[in-house]
Amino acid sequence: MTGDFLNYASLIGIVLLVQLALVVIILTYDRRSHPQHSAEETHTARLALAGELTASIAHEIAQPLSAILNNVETAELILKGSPRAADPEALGPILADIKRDDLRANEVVIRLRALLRKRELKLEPIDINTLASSAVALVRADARHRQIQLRTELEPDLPPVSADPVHLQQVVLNLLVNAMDAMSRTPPPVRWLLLKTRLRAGSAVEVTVRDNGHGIDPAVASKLFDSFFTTKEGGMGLGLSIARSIVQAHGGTIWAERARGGGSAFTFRLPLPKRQRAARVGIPELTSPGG
Amino acid sequence: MEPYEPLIGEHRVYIVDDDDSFRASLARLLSTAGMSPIPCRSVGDYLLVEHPDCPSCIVLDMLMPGPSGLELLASLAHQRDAPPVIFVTAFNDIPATVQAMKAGAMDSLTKPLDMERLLQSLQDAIARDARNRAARRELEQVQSRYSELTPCERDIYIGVVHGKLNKQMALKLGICERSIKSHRSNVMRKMRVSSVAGLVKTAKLLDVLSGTRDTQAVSQ
Repeated sequence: MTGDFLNYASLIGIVLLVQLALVVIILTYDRRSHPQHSAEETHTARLALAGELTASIAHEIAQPLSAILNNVETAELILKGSPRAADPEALGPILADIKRDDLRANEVVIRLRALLRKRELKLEPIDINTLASSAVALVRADARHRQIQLRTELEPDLPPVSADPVHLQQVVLNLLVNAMDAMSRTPPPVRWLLLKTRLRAGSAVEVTVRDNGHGIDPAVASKLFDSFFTTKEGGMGLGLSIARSIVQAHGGTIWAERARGGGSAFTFRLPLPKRQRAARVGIPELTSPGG
Repeated sequence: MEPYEPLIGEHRVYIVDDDDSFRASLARLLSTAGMSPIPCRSVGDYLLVEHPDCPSCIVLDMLMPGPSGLELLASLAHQRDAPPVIFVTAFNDIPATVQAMKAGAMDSLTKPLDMERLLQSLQDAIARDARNRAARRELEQVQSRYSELTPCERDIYIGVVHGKLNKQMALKLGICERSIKSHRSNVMRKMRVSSVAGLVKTAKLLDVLSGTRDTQAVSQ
């Protein structure tokens, strides 16, 4: 009897232990594994991001268009003044300015179209500084509207990284928008945002977005990159989660830190292609210059 | 330039906008339309640039690095000789427009600008500033003339503009009617008016008609 009971008890004990172990494994597995977001989800998040930036983008397009209209009105006035002999010297600079502003508006449209296009990850060599500047251009008006000083520190001559420019731009924009949102309660004179790029140990490129906002609550620090976790009112909680998926798909890492002196810093690091790495550490290679 | 007669006389239109293309194109448009634009790329530039004493107005952008258009508007509200402001916003930002009008902007326009409306608005603003400047000059003259009156003459000035007879004033001030007459002619001479009506007009400018005999406040 007693032996049977002990056998049963130990059996039940083992079963319980195994179940507990399973539960723990499942739980930790679920927490550790980063659900890969589908292309659909990533695209939806990008559309939402574009939506948030609409006012900024509209402003960036309206400025050159207003300047074009002013120049056209000027040209018309000149032509009305002397319809027969329009002075090429007067009209030349006007036309040049119209052309320049037209191209400027077109650039915004191109950037916007790139942001809205739906596509799978496609890697190509890109200059991270160009990408960073283009993202900054998209949020500039928004930053001004929110009285945020936008600064960049771009390390010159960074080697190209192998990345999908549209997806990576989404990551940078997301970090920029988050940083701006985090400063809604910061007094306007000290609202600043810094976008920094740099080379790490010749083998990776790092992009940091640092703000002077409310910082990261230690209680939620571990959940920042989880899906459906958000501290924003009306937020979906997908931005950082998707940002991490994108960075990981590029073989990189992304993390957040509480910045010294307040605010937070979000950084992602992308490895350089092997060839670039070798060239960087000075191993002679037969590559074309500037490659 | 036929449809828009150039403004008569010297004037300035300050364009305060940080967007280089917009500022330059608007300056070019206004020069072509016969106006005198002064482009300023920030509120700071506007404050530092030379301000000749002639009818002016400001075409002011809302959002700029450094002090914003609204902040300039708020500080101009404390200045007596501030030129009228025409606000320009990049997109139809209604709350900002309301704020601007409340802060004392004369007009508010949206980019891209409608040229007819802009030129009309500029002409109105400059005309208003011309009137304001003339009125201020007149007030300053009257104030300086008033400040030259002796205390006794001021009493008589107040009495006359309130329609008091020489006899009443003599009784009240305890001096003879002959002295009143002499003081009274001094007042007319010093205020450079030739009739009681002219004197009342100056009193209206100095805002002493409705008040009591608080002559000290008037001279300030």
